[in-house]
Amino acid sequence: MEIIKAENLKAYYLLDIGGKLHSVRAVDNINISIKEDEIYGIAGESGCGKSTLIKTLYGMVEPPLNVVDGKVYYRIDNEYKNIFSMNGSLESIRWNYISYIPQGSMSVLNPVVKIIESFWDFIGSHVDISDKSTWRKNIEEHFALLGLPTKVLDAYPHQLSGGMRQRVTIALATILNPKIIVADEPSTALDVVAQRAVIQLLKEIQKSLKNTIILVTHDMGVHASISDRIAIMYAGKIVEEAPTSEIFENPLHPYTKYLIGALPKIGDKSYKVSAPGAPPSLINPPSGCRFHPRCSQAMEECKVNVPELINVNSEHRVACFLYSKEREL
Amino acid sequence: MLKRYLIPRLIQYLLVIFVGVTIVFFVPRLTPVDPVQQMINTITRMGTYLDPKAVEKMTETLKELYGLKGNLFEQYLAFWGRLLKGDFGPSLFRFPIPVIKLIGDSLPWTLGLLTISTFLSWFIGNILGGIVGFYYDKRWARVMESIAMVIRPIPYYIFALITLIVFSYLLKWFPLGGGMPVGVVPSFSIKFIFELFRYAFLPLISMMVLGIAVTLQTMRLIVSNIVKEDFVTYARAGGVKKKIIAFKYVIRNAMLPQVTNLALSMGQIFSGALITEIVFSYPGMGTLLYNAIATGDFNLIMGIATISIFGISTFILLIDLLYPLFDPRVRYR
Amino acid sequence: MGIFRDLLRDGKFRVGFIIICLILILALLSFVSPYDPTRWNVAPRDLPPSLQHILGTNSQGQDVFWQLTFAIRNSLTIAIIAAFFSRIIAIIMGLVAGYRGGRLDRFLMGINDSFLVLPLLPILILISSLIKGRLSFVGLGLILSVFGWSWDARVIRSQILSLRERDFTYTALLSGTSTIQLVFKEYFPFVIPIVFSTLINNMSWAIGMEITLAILGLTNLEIPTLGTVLQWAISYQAMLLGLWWWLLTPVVTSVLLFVSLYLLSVSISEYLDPRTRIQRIRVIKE
Repeated sequence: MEIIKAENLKAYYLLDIGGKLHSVRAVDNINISIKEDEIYGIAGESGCGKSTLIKTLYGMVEPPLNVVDGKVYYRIDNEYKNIFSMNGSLESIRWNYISYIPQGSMSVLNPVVKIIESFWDFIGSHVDISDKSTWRKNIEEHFALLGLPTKVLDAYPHQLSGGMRQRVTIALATILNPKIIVADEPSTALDVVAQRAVIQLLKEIQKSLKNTIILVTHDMGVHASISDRIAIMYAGKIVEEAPTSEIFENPLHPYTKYLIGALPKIGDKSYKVSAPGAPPSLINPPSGCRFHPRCSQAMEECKVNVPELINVNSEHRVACFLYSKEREL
Repeated sequence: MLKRYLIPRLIQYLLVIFVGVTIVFFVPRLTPVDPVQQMINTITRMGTYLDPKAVEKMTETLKELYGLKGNLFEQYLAFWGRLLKGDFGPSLFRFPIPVIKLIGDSLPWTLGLLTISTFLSWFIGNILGGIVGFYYDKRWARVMESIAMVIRPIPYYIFALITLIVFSYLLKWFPLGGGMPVGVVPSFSIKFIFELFRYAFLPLISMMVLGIAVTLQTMRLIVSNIVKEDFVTYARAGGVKKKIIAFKYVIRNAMLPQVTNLALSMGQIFSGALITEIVFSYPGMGTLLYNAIATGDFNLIMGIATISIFGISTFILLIDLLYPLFDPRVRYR
Repeated sequence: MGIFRDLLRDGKFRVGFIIICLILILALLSFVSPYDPTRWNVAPRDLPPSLQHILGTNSQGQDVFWQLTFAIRNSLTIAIIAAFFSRIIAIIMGLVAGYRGGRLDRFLMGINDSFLVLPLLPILILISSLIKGRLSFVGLGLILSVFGWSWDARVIRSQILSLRERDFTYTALLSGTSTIQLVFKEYFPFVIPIVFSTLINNMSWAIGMEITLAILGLTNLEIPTLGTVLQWAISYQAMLLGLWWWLLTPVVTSVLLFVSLYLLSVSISEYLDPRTRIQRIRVIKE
């Protein structure tokens, strides 16, 4: 059953630089549906719009970012609600229903108060916490469940290591058992050991809470170990989407092939080829298929028309003229 | 733990005093005027009878005080010795009352005016600036900022003068000057305290309005950077209540650099207090300084300059010592 | 010219610029004044504003308007002298402390911070009470410049510190550029904008200080400046005698001058600050 759906979603950054209007098309006509009880991975190189996509899915849209077109639905009480017409009540479902884990490098906790204070602020904004001692116990149990020492609750953020801070943030984001967790590069900028701990933690949380995690990272290795399905993004569009094993064993889109091909394998000494050239500008994206200037199999058609994301089988979608002649309107 | 924080501050404290006192020591030697001769002239001009022996003796003490006796290094040491004993010699316009006594009498007035206005305006300015910065897209926030922007650059003297003209000359709501009604004996009665407040009101208000305008503006700038910080963005993503974000996340953090800014601007605020006192003839150090200038009382001017240097730097040291209380990052390193 | 056009798009800059232009025109008018500013009794006394004397006359028999033109010119001159020389001190201190670093840096910055926090007014009063009366306005400008450099030196130093870490410094040093060459050729272009943005603040401070010292009777009262004009009006009890035009003229002019200088400096430093530059990109809301 789908819990979150995006239809024809277009989110642009609109800027006026020196009297000239620029729109950065970071999310350009995206259709996805994410199921309950799955980890949905979104991959792509930096600047492809994956962070903007999940910000929009999360409803965190502030100027200069604008939703130009399309809808995002959450299924709340078996009813699909468009979040862009929810206005104020969107704030109230945060943390109860959907929560957010930011990038690991960020200093996301208020530096001048103890960790427990941040918990009070986040929890207290959504539920009644007048019974503090019970809540304190709940928080401590939650920490124990996630394998975190409870004494960090009385520490200040700067006293914790980067990895510990990120795990505390994950604990903070999951304390109210949200149905959906959106994670934006949660393990990036941590050292390898801490990265592994964070990924393990996410996996365990999903297993025990049976909720949905939308995970954005450029790291295909992380996706391989944790995601159930993966969407590959390129220049504001989804170019391929399939279950993880399918993506790694049978990648269809030339861009996906480059991404997979760049992964190191044990015993493999072959020369790694990455996609030539640089990611395109989102202000003036290339015509037709946005990948065509870097694609070794580009055809005349690719320069003119935009390929539509179509199903090659029930679970595998790809947007490439090598597999279908369907165009996007 | 705190050693790495405290020791540089103590060194800076001593350095400020050293630099200040050294300036005060060298100024009379660098100017083409002989302050001793000038002073003797002033006294005789005021009609005080001095027999030649007394003049000679006074010349000696004055020479010593200004560091004009012995070689430079000896003079300098002697100068410090007298300063540390609080010995600035006798005042000339209230001869022979010692300078230190006159300063001591006027100090409480200045201290009261200064501390009340500084802390209130710092606090109010920060809260207002924080709110203006946090709700920067609201109309009222922009109106408030524009008002602060027009008031801020006006010097203390001009602003105090305008306040005095409007509220005392034209509207006659407040007394024209002074610290308390003439002939009233100080007591702890409600009436006396009310009178004290009535006389202090305009100087306080005129210092506070300027102080608030400055604090508001710097605070707004700091806040406009803090709202972009990750922990604020994240709290908003978490749906934390706006009031909590405004006060506990934004303003609380933005106040930290403002503590340091307060310390840095203390010298200016103090100079402003002196000027404001002069305009309202409030009986503090400012008015004392004014009288000293008018009568050419060099001892008194030097005493006030030195005491101000000691006072301000001690005040700054106090702020620095209190800072770790507000910032856990310094407290628990 | 492009920079100027960009600045003019800012409302603050426009208002400040218009006011300062009007004030400058007033200052220039002093060169065609029919009166000698130092002479008394050249006009009837205590006349309210009229067509003949647009801002009236004072109790010394001087025309307030023409007196004002000289006052603005002299106050601005003091400010420019003070700002110019204090900038030289600030640049030297900032460059040396920032470039040499280490112990010298710590020592210079200790001195610098002392100047920053010292209560300058009593010290300035001490100095000017000694040379009272003999102080020409050039001298006053120079004295002010000795005390007005510390903040800017600090800003320049931190700019140099960040430049020192950049690649081109290493490239230049490794290719045999001398320190002096490096500092003047490579670093100066980065320091100049800072100098300009602080220049205006410093002028404003110097004008304010001049007024304060004049009120205390510590400057040469023969020379008309905004401060001395105000001082004469107060010592003649202009307010009590109802000669409001005499008192109000310097008060209103200085308020306008301070506000316009402040608007200009805020606008320019916002323009120079890369962090606020992004705000000039107008965000389009739906």
